[in-house]
Amino acid sequence: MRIRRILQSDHLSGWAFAFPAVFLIFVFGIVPVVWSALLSFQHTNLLAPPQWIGTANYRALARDPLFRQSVVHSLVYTALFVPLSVAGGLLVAIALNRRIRGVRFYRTAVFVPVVLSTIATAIMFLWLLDPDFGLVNFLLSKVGLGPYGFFDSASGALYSIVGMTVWGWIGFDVIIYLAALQGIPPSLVEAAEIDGARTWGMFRHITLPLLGPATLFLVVWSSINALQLFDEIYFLTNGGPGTATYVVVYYLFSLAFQQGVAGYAAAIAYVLMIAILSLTVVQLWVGRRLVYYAS
Amino acid sequence: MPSFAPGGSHQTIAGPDNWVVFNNGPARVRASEEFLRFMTQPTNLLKNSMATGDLPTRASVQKLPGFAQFNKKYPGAGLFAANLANVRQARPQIPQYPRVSAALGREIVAALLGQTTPQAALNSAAQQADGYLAAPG
Repeated sequence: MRIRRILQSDHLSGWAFAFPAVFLIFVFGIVPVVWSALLSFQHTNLLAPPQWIGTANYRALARDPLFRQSVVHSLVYTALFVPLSVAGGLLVAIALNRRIRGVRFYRTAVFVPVVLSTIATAIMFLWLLDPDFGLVNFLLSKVGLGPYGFFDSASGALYSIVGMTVWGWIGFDVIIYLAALQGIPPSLVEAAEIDGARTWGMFRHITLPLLGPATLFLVVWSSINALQLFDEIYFLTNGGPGTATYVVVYYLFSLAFQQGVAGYAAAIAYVLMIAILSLTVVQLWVGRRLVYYAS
Repeated sequence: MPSFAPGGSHQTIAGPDNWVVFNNGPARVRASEEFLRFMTQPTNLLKNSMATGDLPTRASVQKLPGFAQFNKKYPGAGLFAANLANVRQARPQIPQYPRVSAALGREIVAALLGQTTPQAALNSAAQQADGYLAAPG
């Protein structure tokens, strides 16, 4: 009787439907989070039996110059990538939100880099920006500039990666902004026109406020991604030249999987997670005050 | 340290290969040790080299009677074995080594990029290495 009631209850079928997702989130989400928390209090190389060392990993972080350098590089990258990609995405979206011939082609073209694999993008930029026979240096030399080292230059490598990733991700911001732009009610635009609003006034007082939710989403999403920058660094520069492009995730990867100090790397991962969580909370808190929700 | 300078020592980078086994409990460590002893007996190494062309990993292999045949089958093997006499210093086999090596590498690059002087780079590498070596292995 009881068993039949359990078998027929909505809870059981509900959980059965949710099980695949719950299982995957548990295995690939919750287990790693808990496991790396434990690792961060251990001295371990993931092979030999670990030693418990309390908070020594976290205390060591405070006097690790390479960690400090990696944090600075990550912050510089984020401070450049987020505004450039969001503002750039807005400009391109406005340009593509008009009835012009071939607009569908342009919209597709802008989005293509987003679906390209990072490695393909990186190989293309390696060739374009090659110091000796890259197309970019060739064109710059025609106007009397350069040659620049780009990825090979200690002062320019991080900025070259900013440029490459902004190009690679701007299409995503464009798509989100295009959707938001097309969601602006025509009645509001008409009313503003009747009230005598010019182009700038229309943009400042109608378009921009109504794009608030999209902007908040893009800023939060881009910041999280920017602080987790890794693939491009791993493939293009390996943190180099010297330590010029060491960012937090690349540093923790090299520690955990190349130098056998996984516990220390886990502590870095936890500090990064807490930093990203705090930044997101602050952004959402500020966003709630600034962003206007139409509905 | 090896050196190209006149009077510098003649050394080879050959020699520092390791056998690595996992520490999964005393019984398995004992079994692994026994297995490695078997694997690395000069006669077994020679058998393996004859079959695969792999270079012998112990200098004593060249003293075995079968070595002449190996040298004939794979010309140049004898020269390699003779060069094992130039192994003066193997890389240290300690858990901290990869980190120490990476720090030295970074500092050498910094010196090559002109960001620091060679002396300052070496001092910094030494200081970092001391820090890593002070931590548990």
